[in-house]
Amino acid sequence: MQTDGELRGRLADMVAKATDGAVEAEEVLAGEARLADLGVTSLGYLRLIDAVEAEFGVELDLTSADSLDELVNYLRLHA
Amino acid sequence: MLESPLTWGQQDIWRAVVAARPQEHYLNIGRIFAAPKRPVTVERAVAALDGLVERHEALRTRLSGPPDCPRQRISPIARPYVEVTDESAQVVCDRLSAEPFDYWEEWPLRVAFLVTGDYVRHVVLVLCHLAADGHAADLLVKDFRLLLLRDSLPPVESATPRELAEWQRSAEGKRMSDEALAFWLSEYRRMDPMALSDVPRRPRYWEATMTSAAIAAAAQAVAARERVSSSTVLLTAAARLAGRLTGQRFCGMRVIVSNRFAAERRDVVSTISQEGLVLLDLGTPDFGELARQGWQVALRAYRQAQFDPYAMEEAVSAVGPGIRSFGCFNDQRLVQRDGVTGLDERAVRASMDRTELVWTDTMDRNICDFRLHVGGEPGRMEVSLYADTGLLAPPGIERFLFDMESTLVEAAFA
Repeated sequence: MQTDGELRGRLADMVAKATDGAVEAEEVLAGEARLADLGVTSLGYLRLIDAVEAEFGVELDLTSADSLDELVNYLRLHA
Repeated sequence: MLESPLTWGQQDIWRAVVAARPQEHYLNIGRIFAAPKRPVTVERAVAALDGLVERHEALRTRLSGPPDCPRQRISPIARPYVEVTDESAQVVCDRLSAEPFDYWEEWPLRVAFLVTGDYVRHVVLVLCHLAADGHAADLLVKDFRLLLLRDSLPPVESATPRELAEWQRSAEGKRMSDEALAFWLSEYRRMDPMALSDVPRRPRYWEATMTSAAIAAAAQAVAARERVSSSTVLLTAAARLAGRLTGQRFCGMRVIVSNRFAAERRDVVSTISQEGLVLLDLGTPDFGELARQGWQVALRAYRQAQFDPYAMEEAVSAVGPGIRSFGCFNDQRLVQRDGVTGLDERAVRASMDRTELVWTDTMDRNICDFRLHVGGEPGRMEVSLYADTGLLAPPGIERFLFDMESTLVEAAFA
């Protein structure tokens, strides 16, 4: 079981990868902003959702990926 | 020689070919790119092309079997049409795109090397849409440029068209298609019936293209304010105006989806883009709120765009009279990352005087009765509307485009 910090770090890296680095992991970790407000495009979202589903074996509800906190909470409950 | 069924994306294109024959050359995909600064001889360029064809199975594929149920036939070697010329790139691209491919005999790409003296300055690629979609064409350009500089590239790891077709026929592929069908059917059941008709002209299908700086600036401004993409903003405006034409509150518009979200699909060179269905509740009066709804709905729709197109057609056509999606929206801009713009209302409104609209094409037959394309440069957007005049007469086509511009300018300064 990953700690919250490890999980947040992993997800922030996945956001950076899904956006081809347009959004950096540090930005994701820095605050509570919505991912869209950080500049995650619809393409970035879809790549992120696909990657999270593949890695954690969950089916994501799109509204559960609005922010890093929501993603972490969702995975804690469902993964 | 290997044979395989067509992929779903290829089947979609084949349906479009059959519906438009013999005028299906509009489906051809042209790309022009500059050769690297380092001098490239024709010999070097031909070697790079050989490398590209060897690398991508899609470029060695032709059709086999009967026209009502074609299959793909993959050859170990292919020699596509190549010419060396000193004409201008756009002239060559238009010329090589002007005829449909001979799908059973011809390799699915035509190439021209544009030379000055002994060196290649530009390369023109014209691709058959059965082999590549827009994203695949861009991947091929990237690979071709690299092969002009290097002798080899890292091996291709993405699935080939043949492997995609095999996966699509697997239990997992069928499950994905069934899920998309169920999603589309549930959205169709929410649609209002559509009422729209006019007296068809000859030729029946007309296309107008509007070039506007105002629509580019306004779409970006609304996108930045509502925290959505400018693509979503344009789609939302199109759907709202479409609903006014059709009288639908719940109006469904199809969007072209690249289907490259999964890591293993990102670099696929094949036709895997298909249509997604975006159904909006146009009873929402505030444009900003509608655009936010559009963003959420589009995200869901993008995930339901991989399906057996024949099964989909059969399923949705049985929902009920007048119940159908209206139009197809395709954002083909190469640069879609929205910048933050300082918006000067007076300048934007003044720029509307410089908006141009020209008639750009006509056709007798087409699979799609209402198609919107977005393209152009970041500051000067081109929006084309291709419509069946049996639904919308030419003055209505013009009005639709100008209304898109004014809708977005008003939304930007609301």
